[in-house]
Amino acid sequence: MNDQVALSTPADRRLLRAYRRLLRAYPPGPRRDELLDTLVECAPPGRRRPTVREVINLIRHGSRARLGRPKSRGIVVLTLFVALAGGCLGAGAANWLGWHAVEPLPTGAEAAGISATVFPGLQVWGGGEAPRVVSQSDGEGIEYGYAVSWVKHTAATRDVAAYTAGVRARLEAAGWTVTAFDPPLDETDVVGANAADRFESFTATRGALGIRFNDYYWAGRPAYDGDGNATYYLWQEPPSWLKTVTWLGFPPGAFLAWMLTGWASRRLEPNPGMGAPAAVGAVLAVLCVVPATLLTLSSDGRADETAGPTWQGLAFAMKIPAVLFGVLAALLLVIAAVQRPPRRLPQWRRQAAQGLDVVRRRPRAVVALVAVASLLTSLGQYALVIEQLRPGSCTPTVPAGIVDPPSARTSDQARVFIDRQATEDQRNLAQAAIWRGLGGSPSFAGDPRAPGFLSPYCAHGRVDSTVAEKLPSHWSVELASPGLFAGLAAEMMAMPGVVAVQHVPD
Amino acid sequence: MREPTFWILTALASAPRHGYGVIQEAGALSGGRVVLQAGTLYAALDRLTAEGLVEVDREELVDGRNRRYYRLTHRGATALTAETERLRASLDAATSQLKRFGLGPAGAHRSGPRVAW
Repeated sequence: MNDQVALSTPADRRLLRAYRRLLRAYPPGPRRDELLDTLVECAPPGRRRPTVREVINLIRHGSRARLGRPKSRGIVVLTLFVALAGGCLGAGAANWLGWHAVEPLPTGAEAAGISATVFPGLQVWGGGEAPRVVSQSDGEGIEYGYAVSWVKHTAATRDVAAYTAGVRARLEAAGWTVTAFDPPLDETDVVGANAADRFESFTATRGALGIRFNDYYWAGRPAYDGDGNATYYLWQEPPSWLKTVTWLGFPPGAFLAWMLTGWASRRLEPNPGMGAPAAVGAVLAVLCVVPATLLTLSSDGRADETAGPTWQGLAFAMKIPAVLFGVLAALLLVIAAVQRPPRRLPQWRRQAAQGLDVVRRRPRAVVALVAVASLLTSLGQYALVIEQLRPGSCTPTVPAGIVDPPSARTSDQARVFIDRQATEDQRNLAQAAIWRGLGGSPSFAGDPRAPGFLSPYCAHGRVDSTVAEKLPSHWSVELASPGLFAGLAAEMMAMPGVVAVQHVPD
Repeated sequence: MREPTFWILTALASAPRHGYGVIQEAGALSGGRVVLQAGTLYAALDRLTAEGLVEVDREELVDGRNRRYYRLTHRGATALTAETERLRASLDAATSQLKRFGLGPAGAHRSGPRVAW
């Protein structure tokens, strides 16, 4: 900005500084100086700071001037929607940061204390760490990262009512408050149900920790299916400040979206043909974000005890919309960035002409450069073929025993490998053991030619088909919580034919 | 046509003026009733320039300041004339109604409040 304006006027320096700060609401350019000149002339002697009316007026019209296109009202409406979308994304980002400031699940002595209170004297599997938040597998909601702990049935736990009452009494004595108690199991309408089946559960809280205890007893089931188990889920309730933190992300997101839209609008203004396609792109970007946000925010229900109110998962619900919005926004900004003001075009052409002149003056150098580039490209393609596409370019690595790297600590993904020579009975028993080990319903890969079969063995390249046919078949298992891996591995390694159990990093 | 636009065009009808000149002239012509804010003025000037009603007349260096003067275009003068006709028709209609119902003198002496944009 022109310093002479400041020096040649009797206006108070503080007033000048304040006006200059305010005029940053306008896009860079001579208009700022023009306005400063007018404001200084209008200011009565002795004024030291802008009036409230001036502040509001300059911010309002400066924000509008950022969008260019003074005749258009449509650009204001469109930018308001883009700013709304930007605000939603900002809120989502703040929500994500907030979630990562939530206390992790207890470990060490505290976790051991809870385990000993619920299942005193029993071999407990599971527990451990968990991601802060996970989306539910049915896609219906967000759950606080929870850790599942479980025990195989003993005579005591098979007496479901008595054991559940005991757990409840021990937890209450340890400071927990029972918040919900499920009614007794009613299987009167279930065809083929066993009258001796039992199930009881309750939910309790202590501070920000939540716990849900379940005791299932399925009487008379075959051994390979198991007769149920007793489990507890432990999770951390999100703090009360999460909502505030989430909304704090809205203004910066909206501000950034307004500024970027204004910049793109001004860049594209000299090119009338780009106006309509850019507007369509911006509308699509808004449609990617705003409906998803409104849907998330409008639902405050909880899918179950361990699930959060849906709005709290804004960061997780916004992942895909944010990617779509980001791609469209990046495309529009790149198009805006490559627009060149007309006055620079001749210079650009001059540079292009200079480049062509070099080609004319030094043809040998250019030929050598093209030859080197071609050679490098060919070498790259050759390496790609040898390393990636040629059969046998990958020597598969077959895991053995229990593989649980530290990088998989908070992963809920696991694989179980079974010898290709295993009988069908052995495979069925192994699959039942995965169920017993709380591995849910795994997906099996047994055909070496099927897509995905080789991914556990080779990150890149291809495996020779004769080698592939000898590789173990495998199940992909989604654990209910990462800490369940040890229990699953113990259960599986006792099964005939199973050669390895692998905890797969995220 | 909104009132700030009307007064900007009116202020530029007599001579090309810079921003402060327009604000002063609009104030004087309206008997001090209209106080244009600088932000409002330049937003309107941008719009009027884009619509071809106003154009830059010249730039002068005054006391080290680059001062831009604006003037009314032919289209601007036509638009102001049309607006004047519209306002005159409205004024005539209101005046005749007031006279017809004997209310004229009571309201005629009141001057409007000071307005700022």
